[in-house]
Amino acid sequence: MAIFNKEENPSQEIETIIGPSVTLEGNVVGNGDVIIEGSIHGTLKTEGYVKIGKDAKVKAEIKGSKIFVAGEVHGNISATSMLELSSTARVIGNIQTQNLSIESGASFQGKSSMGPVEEQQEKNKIAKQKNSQMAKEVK
Amino acid sequence: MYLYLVDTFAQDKKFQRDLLHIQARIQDLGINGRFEKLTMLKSIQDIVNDAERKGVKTIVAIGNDKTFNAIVSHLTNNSITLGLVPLGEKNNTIAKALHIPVGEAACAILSKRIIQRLDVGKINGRYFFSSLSIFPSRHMKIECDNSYILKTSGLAPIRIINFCDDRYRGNAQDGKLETIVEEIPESGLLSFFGKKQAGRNSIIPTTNMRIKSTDESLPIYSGTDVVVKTPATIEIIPKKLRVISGA
Repeated sequence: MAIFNKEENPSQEIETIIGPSVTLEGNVVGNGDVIIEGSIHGTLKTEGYVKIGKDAKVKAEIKGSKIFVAGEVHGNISATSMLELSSTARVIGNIQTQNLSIESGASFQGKSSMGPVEEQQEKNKIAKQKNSQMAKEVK
Repeated sequence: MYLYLVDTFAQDKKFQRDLLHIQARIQDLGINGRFEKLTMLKSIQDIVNDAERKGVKTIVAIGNDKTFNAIVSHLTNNSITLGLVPLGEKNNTIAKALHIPVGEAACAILSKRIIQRLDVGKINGRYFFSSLSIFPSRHMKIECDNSYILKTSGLAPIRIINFCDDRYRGNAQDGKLETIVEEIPESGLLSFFGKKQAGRNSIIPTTNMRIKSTDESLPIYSGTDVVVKTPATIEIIPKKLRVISGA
């Protein structure tokens, strides 16, 4: 039994917040929700919701279940459930998701692939393996 | 075997009546034990070390958050169960979170003996329970979970919460420390009109971290006391502490 319940401890509802004065560099792995209003360089993997705020600067590969982008992202994004780019979003990188929403005014440079993320990753793996096999046969 | 550790402030005249009532209630409930009063010559460390040598099973702090935290910081083994009888109106955040009422009423909680296993933090080999705080004079770099670096760009205070401090509450049962980097309100036109704006504080859960300050060695506080100076290694020890709680 937890000592604190949610009413007593509202910070438990959101597990990670990267505020404006903070930069994270490296590989961040978590299970909970993440809100980014600062900077992150590297990779971010979570099973939860990711919100990238309007003033956030992200140079990282982002993986999450539901991802909302309002800031700047340089890197690939893969969302297992939903990816939403708001009008202020600036994304340079490939995106992979099941459901995609792009608001008017958003900027996106890269490839997009739709469908279950795991399936896509599996397809990419198979394609890579085939390519390497073909390359060996040619040699 | 119980040991009741009475803090210095609790020996004040205004608490004399409370102490007598507590002693009487303890007798009634059959949870008698030795009373040790903190004095100039007898520190918490002396009392805790002596209790451990004598095989005391339960130490009860009669005092406040500071008393409880000081006992935890001097524990060396985990066979001791901690209890708390809060006194006074201030600095009783721990008691409140553990659902322990102030004064004599807390004795009933001790008697029921509902034990929670709570996480405890460790800084440079020394335990801490509530929280730590750092007041950087320059930018800070903190290595977290051996996988990423947290950099702060402001001079905002950094708080590392296990259980709680005067402003924030953590969860001492999640196996994590919450690192909170506060945002200082912006000064400018809005502040001129009395509307100071602050960004959202950062909350970053970690299991271990290493703090280095770039130039000078910075003090790390537990409450108002300096525990260590940087560099420091901090980690969480899940469910290490046995604490008697009200629910």
